[in-house]
Amino acid sequence: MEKINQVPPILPGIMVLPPVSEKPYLVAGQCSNCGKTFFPKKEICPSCFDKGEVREIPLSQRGKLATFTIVRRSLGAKKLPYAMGYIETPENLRIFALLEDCDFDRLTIGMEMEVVFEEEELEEGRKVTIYKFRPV
Amino acid sequence: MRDVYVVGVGMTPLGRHLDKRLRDLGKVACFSALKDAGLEPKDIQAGFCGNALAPAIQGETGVGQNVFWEVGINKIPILNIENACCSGSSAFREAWLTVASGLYDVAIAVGVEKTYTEKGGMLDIGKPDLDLMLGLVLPAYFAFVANRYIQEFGISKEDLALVAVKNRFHGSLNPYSQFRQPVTVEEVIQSPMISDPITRLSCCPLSDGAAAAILVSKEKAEKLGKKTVKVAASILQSGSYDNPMNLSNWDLNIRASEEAYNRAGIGPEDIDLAEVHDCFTISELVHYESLGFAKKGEGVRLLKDKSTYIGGKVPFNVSGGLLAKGHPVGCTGIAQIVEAVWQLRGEANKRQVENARVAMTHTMGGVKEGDCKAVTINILKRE
Repeated sequence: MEKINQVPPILPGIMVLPPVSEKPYLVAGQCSNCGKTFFPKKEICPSCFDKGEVREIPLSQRGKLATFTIVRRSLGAKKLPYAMGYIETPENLRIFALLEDCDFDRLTIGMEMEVVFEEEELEEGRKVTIYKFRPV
Repeated sequence: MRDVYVVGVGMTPLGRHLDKRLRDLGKVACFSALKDAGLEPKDIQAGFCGNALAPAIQGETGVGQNVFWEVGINKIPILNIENACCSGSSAFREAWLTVASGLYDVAIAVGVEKTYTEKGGMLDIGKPDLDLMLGLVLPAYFAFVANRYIQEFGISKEDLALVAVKNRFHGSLNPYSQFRQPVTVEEVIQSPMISDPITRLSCCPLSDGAAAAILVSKEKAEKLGKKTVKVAASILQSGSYDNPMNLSNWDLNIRASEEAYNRAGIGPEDIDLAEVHDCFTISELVHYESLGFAKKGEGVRLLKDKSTYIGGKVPFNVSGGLLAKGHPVGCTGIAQIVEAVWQLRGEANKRQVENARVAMTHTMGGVKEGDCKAVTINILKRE
């Protein structure tokens, strides 16, 4: 876990990593006025403007697959094929995620997924920590 | 707001134009539109140019001034507009607005784009957001909608392929179309998989092209003897970006079409033909529903009973649409309007929709947090 901590998140503020938390987790924003949640966190709630304060909340480790696809042909440096989808979290958010450890043929909408964190090297060579979801 | 008329249109065939610059294509479209309107370059009082990707692909900015000068249009306000796939239709809306407001009597809108490169591939829209940084690509986003739609409404991959079959057939009737060969359901399904369930023939191609339209006040249209096609509504809207987002439809289209129908004082039952943003097969199917032509989940029926074929109740994309005619991003919105104008004037030859009086064009652009960035809807009426 210490190794992962040396590598910054792909986008600042979207996850908490060791040693701050022993178990890494994703972070969303929640408006103190209307209770709406955002991922990635927004500074200003679009519904409440200055009437609410957006606070950080941890996102659950698990969610349900809301939709998905398998990218078979693309131009980027990413190794093909790879799966991606939207995860529905208990916080009533739908978040975009790469999927891993999954049998492409067995992916189904509604299946239970859990978050994992790993290092990835971006096309420009920068090493970052990203999140993915895998079937439970 | 004053009444505004479209008095001149023109476009290049869409396809591969590797030997031409943006201005070479734009020149052809503007020249044709001027000749069609019976106007000279000096008659144009304001110019708007839609282009999405020239800064990224060609490294060119200020495309509008480059294009308009090729036909001798200068010394007037010229505005360059980038609004993703709605760049051209947003330029058209600005031209409409400038005449409708009374500021000017004669304005031109051009849309021009070159996305085809020798190495081919896929449109690159940069990596400004988390999903794009992680690896989201455009076909995958539409595949999300397709898979969700398939799960919610129980349609088959064969059903989805019917959109490409129809639009390729329509494209075979259009000399301006990039693809002129019809395809079968089997060919669509068996073409290489891009992003399940989106196959290569379920995607629009990379295209080059330009299209232009000239808009004038009622008095000017009367003087020209071309008071034929009126702009009954010209709508631009943006997305909500609310989470959780709708994954089997784009709510933005519902909002924009309601606004367009209200402004034009008509409903979907009054539309004789529609040119809609069929960037992928799933898109057109969903548009049937969000634009009010079918109930939620029932769009496939319009394909199965051939309602949206030429000769059907309300033909969709008789030009071939983006899937066959092509999708030069910033040109697309105006190319749709050019087709609508030709149809309303009865000049569409083999693909003419009989007695077309009211046409709708719909363009959808950009991806942001599971929604779109822009939608434009134009309703044009023959007088």
